Amino acid sequence: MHKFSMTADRVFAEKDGAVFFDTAAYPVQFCPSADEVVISSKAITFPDLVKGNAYSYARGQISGTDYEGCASYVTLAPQNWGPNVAGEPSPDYELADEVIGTVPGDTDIILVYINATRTNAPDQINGKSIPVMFKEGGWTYCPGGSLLVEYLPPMSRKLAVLLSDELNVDGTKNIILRRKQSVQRRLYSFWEAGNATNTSGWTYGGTAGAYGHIAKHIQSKGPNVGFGFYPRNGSNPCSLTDNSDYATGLTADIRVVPGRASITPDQAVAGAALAFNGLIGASNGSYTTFSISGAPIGVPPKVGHTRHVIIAVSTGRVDDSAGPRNINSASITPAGGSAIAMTRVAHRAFYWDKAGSNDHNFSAAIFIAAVPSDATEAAISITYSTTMKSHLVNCWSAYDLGSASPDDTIESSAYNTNVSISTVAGGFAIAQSAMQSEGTSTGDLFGIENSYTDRQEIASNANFMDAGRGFQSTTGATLSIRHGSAGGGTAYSWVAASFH
Amino acid sequence: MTKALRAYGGKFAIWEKPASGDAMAPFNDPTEHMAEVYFHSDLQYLAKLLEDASVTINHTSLAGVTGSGISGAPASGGSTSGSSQPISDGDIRATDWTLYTHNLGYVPLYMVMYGQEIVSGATLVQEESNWRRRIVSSFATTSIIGLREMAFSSDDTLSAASRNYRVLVFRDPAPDPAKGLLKLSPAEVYFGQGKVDSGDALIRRVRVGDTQTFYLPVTETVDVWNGAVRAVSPAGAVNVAGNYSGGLFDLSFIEVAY
Repeated sequence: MHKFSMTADRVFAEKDGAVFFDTAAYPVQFCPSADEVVISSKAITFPDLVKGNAYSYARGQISGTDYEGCASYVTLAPQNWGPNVAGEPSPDYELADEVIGTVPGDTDIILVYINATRTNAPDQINGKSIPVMFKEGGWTYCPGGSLLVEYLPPMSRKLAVLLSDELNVDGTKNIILRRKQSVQRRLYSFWEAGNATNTSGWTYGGTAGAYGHIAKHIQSKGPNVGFGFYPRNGSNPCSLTDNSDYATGLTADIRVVPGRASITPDQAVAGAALAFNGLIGASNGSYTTFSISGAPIGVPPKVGHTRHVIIAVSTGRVDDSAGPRNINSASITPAGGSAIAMTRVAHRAFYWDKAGSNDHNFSAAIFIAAVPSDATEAAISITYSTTMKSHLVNCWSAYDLGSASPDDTIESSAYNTNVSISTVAGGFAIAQSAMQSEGTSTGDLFGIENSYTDRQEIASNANFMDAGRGFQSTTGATLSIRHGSAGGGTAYSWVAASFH
Repeated sequence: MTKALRAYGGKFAIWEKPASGDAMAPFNDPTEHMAEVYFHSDLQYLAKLLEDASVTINHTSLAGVTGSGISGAPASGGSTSGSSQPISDGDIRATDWTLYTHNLGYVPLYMVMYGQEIVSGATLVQEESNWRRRIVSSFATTSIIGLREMAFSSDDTLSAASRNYRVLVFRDPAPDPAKGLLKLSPAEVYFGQGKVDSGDALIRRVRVGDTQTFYLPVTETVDVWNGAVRAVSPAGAVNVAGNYSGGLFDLSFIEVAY
């Protein structure tokens, strides 16, 4: 028996009591094929890597006779290539994004399938071919648009086909092709730089410096009788001419299916909110006021609907002399607008008095504010009660919240035990922690319902902070949060809040 | 909130009436108003066509290889003579597996899942010490859904491993010309020439009681940095290979069901 029902709030159809179409759990929809972005035989190139050289010189005596020999090599420098890259390892090299098509402006999700073939293979690294990681000639589904292209220590390459967050002036959104390539930074024990040696050993030269990975043999000479011919600065040294090429070329057919997964601002389940989450800032440094510019705050709310921005903050310091240290306030300034004070809904400041100048302070807080402007980005500013040295901020945008007041909150230092937070049907919970692990790189995790999140590592002072994360609970439930595990951290604060 | 439904001029749609402006805009131009549309006969939907919920692949072991010094270099040295000579241990092997033979004659939209995770462009399915590991991605042809496996050993063998995958193949979203725009009867309900049909399982947003759930990533799932590879899923981040130190920590995603 089939049924079809329609009211102002809901349309649904069922077969034998099982609902197969429901506006309260609507199907994800995709544009007709005419609006797909289909690109044939797209040439994608990854440039040659930045390189230097290594030089091996050996000398000695056999039965009173002098001998010497040399060998020279191409080295791969530590490097990261991509759009607007910055960070470690440096140096970084620009590999700009490329717009390869446009899709309707209401697109919020894309399916990406790529059929690629490597047309130009890079040189080997120490006798090993750099493998293609995907099936050449097959159509690979690329979740999130991402595809690992090549991996062989110490290098890796990827490409991604991405949906732009921003609307073009004609109301469309861009589809972007992104390439990234990278070589590990690792210090080898070369003896010294450059030419000034007639002593046996390894020296390095060129851009790669002491961090260069030996990758390809250039030339060997000897052993020969005598001294002084084969050193780097000798009269007849091994060649240092780069004989390598680590560029890669692909030709790819790309299919992008644009679609819509979220009916905005109606979130399908009555009273529900949908939160878009993401890490927006992590930093070490001494700040009493920590600021982030250009934080993504989601699409603007449509007429008659609301948007709230929720931020979660962690901060820490391990060279303090007093405590606790509070996260006092936060403000958000949408692009083109004025500053809006945010309301703190959860806060925990933990102080570990170590009876000296190395007292530990770890604090976490959640703030919320209505942000009704047309802006998609905002500046966010957080003020502490004193200077703090590690900072982690996450941001969520929620539409048509039933209330800006949380349904439930946790402000805790509970460790290695489950703590419950209740959520309303269609609502969601957000959690954030600040913790210190005494330099331990494993063992401290933060998760809900035992689904552990990634941990954001803050490098200085051996501090570790967990990245906060949004947990959407469309069913409504009591969620169990566990912070840390046996043998892990010793000082921490964490907070959680649920909304609907 | 008010829902609207209309079948007219070869189109059928269910949409949210805009709070202001042209109330018929989502019906007339759905691709420009997808944010208000629940169903439109001009749009495409992912209807499950084929599924194998548990395909077992017996990944074979890969023998370890002890490397030797590279050509022409001293074999070793102390702090003054340098000790940086690379030793190229291990082996690498690519293997392609058939997960599912569909023989559709065209390349369908599909997804492969490993546990609750969609197999991405770099999904780690096995990890052992000294960077021994197995990384997979998926692919489709006009006849099969496949798995590309990349195995990495060290001077030790990468162990054999048995892993289960789930394959979802979606129906060609073309309308069925034999069906009308809308049929509502006790025996049958369909919309848009069968794009929504009581016999289909559509990929849709979740509701209370759903058990067959998974997720669609909205943001990047794989990144490279410091010569390493990281992948993210709703369960968190995994260093697929190497010591990743970049900025990919989390994933934005949409939870869906069928």
